[in-house]
Amino acid sequence: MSDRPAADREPGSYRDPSGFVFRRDGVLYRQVNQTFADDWSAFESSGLHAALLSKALLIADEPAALDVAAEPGAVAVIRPKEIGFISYPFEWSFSQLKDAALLTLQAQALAAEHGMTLRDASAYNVQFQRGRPILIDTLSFERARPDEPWKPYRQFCEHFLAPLALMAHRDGRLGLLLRDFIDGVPLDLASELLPRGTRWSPGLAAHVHLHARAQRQHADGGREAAPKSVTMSQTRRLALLDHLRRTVEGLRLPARGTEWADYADQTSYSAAATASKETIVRDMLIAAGGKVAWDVGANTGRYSAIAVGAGYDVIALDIDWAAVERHYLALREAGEQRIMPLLADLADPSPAIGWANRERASLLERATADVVVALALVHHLAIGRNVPLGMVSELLARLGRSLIVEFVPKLDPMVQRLLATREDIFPDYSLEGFRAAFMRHFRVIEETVVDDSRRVLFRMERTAP
Amino acid sequence: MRLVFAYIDPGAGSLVIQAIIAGLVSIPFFFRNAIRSTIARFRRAPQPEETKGPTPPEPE
Repeated sequence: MSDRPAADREPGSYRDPSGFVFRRDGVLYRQVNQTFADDWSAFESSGLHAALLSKALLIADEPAALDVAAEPGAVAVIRPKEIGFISYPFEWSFSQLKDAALLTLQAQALAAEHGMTLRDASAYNVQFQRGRPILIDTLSFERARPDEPWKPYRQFCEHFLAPLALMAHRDGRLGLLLRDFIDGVPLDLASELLPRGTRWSPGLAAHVHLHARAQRQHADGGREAAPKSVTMSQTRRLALLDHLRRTVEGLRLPARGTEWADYADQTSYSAAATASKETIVRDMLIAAGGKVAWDVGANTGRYSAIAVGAGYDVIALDIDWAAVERHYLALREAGEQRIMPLLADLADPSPAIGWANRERASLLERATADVVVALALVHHLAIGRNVPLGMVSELLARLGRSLIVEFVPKLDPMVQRLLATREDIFPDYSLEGFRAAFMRHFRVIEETVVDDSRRVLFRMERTAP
Repeated sequence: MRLVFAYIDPGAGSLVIQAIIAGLVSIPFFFRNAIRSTIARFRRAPQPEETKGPTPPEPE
């Protein structure tokens, strides 16, 4: 062990004693512990592992040498295929979370066909790979025992059903509750926040409202705390899962929710200006070079698509959940695999959460961009959110080495709109001020005025981190 | 006393309520599957594998 690089256990991988994820020499591995040996071999011998891989429901892996193991007690080590960008459920739009929920139930159904079952149903076990959700926890399956209830039921309801119901029936922004509740939205809270009318929908009445009430009745200490015996036939378990699936499938966002994003499409651009901007951005993207682009303030992804055309994989961030939702649906419809839409507010990026603030990394810790594309963004931060230009520049420099950024001058109608109801306290917001602020972290490679507008596009390279 | 072995807490209330809900929803589940398999039998002699659930189980 001595001359081998040390193994670093992933900070988020501590809950499950059956194994854990670690890195050695930068390579990601998963150790399977002795206590899980029987279920692990059943996972293989039942054919479930192969079936999940052939249906692309589970991340692919290859076996690794046992002596790579990070800790004693390993019976196997695997090397899972790495996901390019790790995202979290509170950064997903409604349909992303819904697709992740349905994937989980689909994996459970396939497991049942092989005499196996899911051991957990955490939304964090799902990631997006090539535009589709996929399970990443290879140790989530165990042998199904006859007459046993579905153990992840509570977790599924808290991680998936409750936030989805809240988004569908109350407000699309409530998915952000998952940021405050790492173990899922408490069902009593969901029950309280949901409109009364949802008590008449059989799925939500059962799995959220009655479920919350049952939890209260059996809460700690009470006489009824420990049910003597809860058994459930295979049939009933299948019926329960079928009902859960129908309930999730039946959840839809109200139509007006996704029309919001139309608003953000309105710009002051003429057709000529739009065409000019697209050409300039495309050329700058090609010139910048790299594999990953972060389109910050992507809205519904017009420039993300251009980045894909220029050869990038794209993370498309936007602050508006309706825009992220619409973007995701359009990509899913088109079968576009290279763009990952993500809900994020650059003025308040996803924080690090969970145990010791290390369990789930902050958005900035996950920044991997070669090129950051920030179009029609800076004025929203500088004027809309009062962030000094130097701080905007500093943050963008942290996200990636190249930057394609648009400066929208004060006279532009979109900036005038931001200033319409407030005092202009932004004397430094000018082309000179912008240049001076950004020169602290970048050097300008090229700059071009967008035809038929006053806007300027810059391509810069980072000089200081 | 039968313990449910799980590394996550399945929750006492959650176990109780899921058993009740499962009992209720298994009735329509049974009939749906029965109807589906009957239709399938009439359509084609060898029954296709497309039924989502298992072969109709007995109601309890």
